[in-house]
Amino acid sequence: MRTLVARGDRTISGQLFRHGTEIPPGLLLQGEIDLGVDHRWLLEYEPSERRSLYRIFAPFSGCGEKQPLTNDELTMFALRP
Amino acid sequence: MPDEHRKFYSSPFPPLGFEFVSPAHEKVAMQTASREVSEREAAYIAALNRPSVPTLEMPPIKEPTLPENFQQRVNELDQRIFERGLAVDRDKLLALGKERFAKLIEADRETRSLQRVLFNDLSSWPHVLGAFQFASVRVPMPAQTISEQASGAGADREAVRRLAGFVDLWKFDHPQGEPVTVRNVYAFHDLFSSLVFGQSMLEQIGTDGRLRNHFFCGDGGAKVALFDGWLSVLQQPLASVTISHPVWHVVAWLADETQPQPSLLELARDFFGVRSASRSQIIFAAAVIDGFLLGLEGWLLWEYVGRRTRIAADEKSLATQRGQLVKRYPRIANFHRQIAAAFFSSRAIHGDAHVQFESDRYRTFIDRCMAKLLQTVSGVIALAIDEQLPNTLVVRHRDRWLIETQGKRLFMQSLIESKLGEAFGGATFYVEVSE
Repeated sequence: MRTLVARGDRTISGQLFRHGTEIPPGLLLQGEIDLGVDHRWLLEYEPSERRSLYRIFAPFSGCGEKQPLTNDELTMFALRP
Repeated sequence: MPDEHRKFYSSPFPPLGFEFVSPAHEKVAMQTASREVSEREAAYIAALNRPSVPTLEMPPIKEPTLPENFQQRVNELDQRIFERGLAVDRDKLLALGKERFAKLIEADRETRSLQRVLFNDLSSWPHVLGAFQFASVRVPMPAQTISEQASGAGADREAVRRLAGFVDLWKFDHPQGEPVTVRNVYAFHDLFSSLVFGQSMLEQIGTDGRLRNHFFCGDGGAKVALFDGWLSVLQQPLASVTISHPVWHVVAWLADETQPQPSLLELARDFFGVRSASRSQIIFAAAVIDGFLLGLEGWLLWEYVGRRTRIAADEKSLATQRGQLVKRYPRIANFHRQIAAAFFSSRAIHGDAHVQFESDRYRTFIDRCMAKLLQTVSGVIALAIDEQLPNTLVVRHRDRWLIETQGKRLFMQSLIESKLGEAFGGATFYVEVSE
């Protein structure tokens, strides 16, 4: 589950994504992602390099995919059951 | 053969009971003997150079007057608070979360747009720290020199150069640092941590719409500030009981301070030499006085104020401001001096004897003492509320209590203040009840 990031200002589906901002998962088809990466319009990062904010906060972003927080973050910021 | 002749015979065999000593064993034996001699000599020299300062006993620390079953009653009340839970409006929580998420994305964009420091993952401290270090941003204070290390000077300055996490990011906020980037990263981080808390609330709401968690019955720690950001999603009506400046009340009681509680506005005016102090100046004054009340000084006070205000203050100005507080509240200053005096220990290294202040032990003692007393204040107030309005308390924290009033009026301010006065021997606490 890589994080997709705009390289340069890009307009996708009517939305403007500034350089360096994350593109929501599911907005682009895989073929479009492959084309964007080949033309260096998009960058893909592994979760260890840059996590997806949309996946981390899936209930608030509406994203269908989830990414867990680290134990340290849950200890410092979350209500532990 | 007669006995007197036997002793002149030389036998090729060793006498009975003789033990062979190999060269390796002999070497070890010599080393052991040599070490024992040198240790005896070092102990003798240390005894001759024993420092003349005696180790002082800890002065007596006042204890609040509490009923015998106080802690048991507080534990039972905490259990009832936990079982009752807190009513949360799930739809409001979702809506607020979505709004904050949109702001998070905007904060992420804003931080990256400046490009003076290039970030990969803004949510990860190692990545953020690495980005600042790659941009050659440093903390403002110099490292400990070799001569300082040898003499033990500058140890506290060296200790505060460390960066423990986002809580210390403000140390990069100085004229030679990256102040705008630091503020942008903090804006992102505040939204991120708030959303983590909000998401955990959403995940734990029960089928009855109530949130049950032990966080609501106890100190709460730093997460109380995160909870503050989600108060609007709680089901109403809720009343709150708050106590202004609990640290001042407790320390003033411990030190028998006779001066009145400081006005933060007046303190800010004094510190900054202004007539109309700004909100950030008032917050700064609050941090300085709390640091003074907790016995902090020097670079430790600088770090405490910085973590509270996210401002890298001038250490010399801070020392001057602290000096003003020492003059204003001499009993509190003296109280801390007496406690600190019990944390000096004699040290003898290579025959050189000296007295050393055990800063870590002193801090641990003060922190533990304060935590215990503030928990006691919280317990006294919670029991007073429960006595007046049973089964309505839903949140018990260090300086705020939330009550599901169900439309009932509250007349408990004087009761709470009187209960606190009983427990803390005549001390005056100021409690505010708002509906």
